[in-house]
Amino acid sequence: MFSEKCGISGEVELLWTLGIGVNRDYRTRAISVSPETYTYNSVERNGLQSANTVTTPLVSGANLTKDQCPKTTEELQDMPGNSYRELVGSLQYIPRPDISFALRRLTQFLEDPGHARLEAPRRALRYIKGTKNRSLNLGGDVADLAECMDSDWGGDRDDQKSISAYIFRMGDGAISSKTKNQTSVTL
Amino acid sequence: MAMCQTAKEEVRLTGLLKDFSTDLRTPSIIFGDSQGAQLAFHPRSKHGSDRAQSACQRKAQPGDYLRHCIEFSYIRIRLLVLYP
Repeated sequence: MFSEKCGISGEVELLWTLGIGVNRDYRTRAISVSPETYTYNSVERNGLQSANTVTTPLVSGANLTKDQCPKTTEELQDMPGNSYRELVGSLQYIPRPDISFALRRLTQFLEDPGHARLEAPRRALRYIKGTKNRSLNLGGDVADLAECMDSDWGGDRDDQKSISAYIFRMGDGAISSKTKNQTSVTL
Repeated sequence: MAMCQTAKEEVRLTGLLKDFSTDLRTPSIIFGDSQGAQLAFHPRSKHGSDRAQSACQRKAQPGDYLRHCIEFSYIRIRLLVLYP
């Protein structure tokens, strides 16, 4: 019923979806999800073709606070709101767990971003550009679960709450990840 | 708290994968550098005094859930020392 309504046949193997390549390896029972084309389009749309690449999605110890939000009427009128939201929105659709912490910080300021903060999502995109060959692999032979967790211990300068994150690996691939503000202040 | 969140997700995911008949080796290992989680299993830690009180008298702490998961072999914690 769904296929008839949307015109999807489902007979052909999935290779591309929304600029993201899907590659299945039947021998090793693995699926590889590669956002290379999506990344190329995002970089081109934001004019970063000739920009230098960086090794981290955020500056180490990045001080993104609400004090940087525009306050005066001139600053509010000159606010780069749409371009900031467009940049962060394009980053959200990239299936890469390694930028989830950076995204968590950047999405806190969607309402009123300032000029000083516009460089942060552009840096994340430059990081993605430099690592566009990396893909998310799922599957493999080993079926053991291993988890890694960390928190930044009061990294949010506005309310002094920590951001904690975890990633679950099953076999060779990351199957689940989350970045979340903690509900209480860590002493 | 981060370790507790990870343990909760681990228990949920393990249950889901077992429903799919996935052959998992338990307990699974959580890697982290939380000093608080290390203290939670020390007999003289701040969480140790909580143990003596009844459950109705105190508010449940993240360390309680972690201790429960380890006692029932849901998880195993391996602490990473990043800055010796």
